[in-house]
Amino acid sequence: MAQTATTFLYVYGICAAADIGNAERPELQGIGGEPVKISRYNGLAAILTEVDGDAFCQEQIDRQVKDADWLKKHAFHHHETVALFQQQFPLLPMSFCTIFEQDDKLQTLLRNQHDDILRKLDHLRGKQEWNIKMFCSPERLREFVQHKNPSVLSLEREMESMPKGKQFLMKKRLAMLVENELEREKNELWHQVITELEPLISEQLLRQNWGRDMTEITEEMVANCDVLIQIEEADEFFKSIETIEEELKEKGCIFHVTGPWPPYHFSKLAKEHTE
Amino acid sequence: MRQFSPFENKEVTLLDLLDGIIDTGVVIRGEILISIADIDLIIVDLKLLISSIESAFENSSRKIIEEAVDGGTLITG
Repeated sequence: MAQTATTFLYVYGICAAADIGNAERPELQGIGGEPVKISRYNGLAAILTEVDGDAFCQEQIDRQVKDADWLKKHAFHHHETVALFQQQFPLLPMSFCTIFEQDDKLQTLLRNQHDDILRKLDHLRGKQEWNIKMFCSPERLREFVQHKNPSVLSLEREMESMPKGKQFLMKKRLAMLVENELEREKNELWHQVITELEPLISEQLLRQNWGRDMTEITEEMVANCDVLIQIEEADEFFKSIETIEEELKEKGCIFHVTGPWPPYHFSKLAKEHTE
Repeated sequence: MRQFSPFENKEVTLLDLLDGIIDTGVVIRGEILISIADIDLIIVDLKLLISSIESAFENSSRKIIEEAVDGGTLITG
């Protein structure tokens, strides 16, 4: 690699130039130590910082993201910088370590996608991203199915009037029914939740569930969903989740809600415009 | 319902953050010199993070994690 000092541009996010007029512009240190700046490009503006080309080349970054301490520190820096601006105006957050070699490349990109980016920013105006994680205790759900599931209860009632021998044979069928109902109940849990929340949600994206090694809680994760909601409906959104949690308590369900996040999961531009 | 803020509960939201910012946000192909979009890579990193978080818990203090995270605020070498 060349040893000459090259400077790259690390970009945190893109916003509309018209929005930054009165916004606060705190003096922030960027990811590489240089100040965080706002560069205007016609109707758009980029929140960026200059970085040393040797320290932020692909090889170096590939190596460093495997270092948990480096990743933690810099991922939070990226997030905090994005969030600081995004709290003031709509911002399309860039992925962590989005780096441009030259300013003219960023300019070309922003010129070519000017209208799409502005449309996206408008769509995000007044909205917030939240993450909902739904957990369920398999033991409590099983208990619920065994004692309160209508199909299970009705088979149990039928069995009561059967002769002892037949009862013994039916026990296997009852056990199978419990397993099937358990699976059905489990699969329906999230559907029930999202159906109730849907009127308050403008976009949703299901993420992969995390295992217990990641969540470190005893309940099993049954849904991990990012949602985009109107800021003014946030209270109603929380109340709805609390109500649902109460309704599903006997099935062993609990919810963790995280946010507000910058719209990390809802900022992608349509594919045809990114080419 | 437990509610977590991305700023107040860093250890809780760290994994969410990494899940969110590494492979998402705007990914504009063609003009970017450097970017990270390799899902496998993320999984490797998440595992690394888990182990570092777990070892911090073994030292029986939440503070350790907070310090580890806060210690690096905004200033890089």
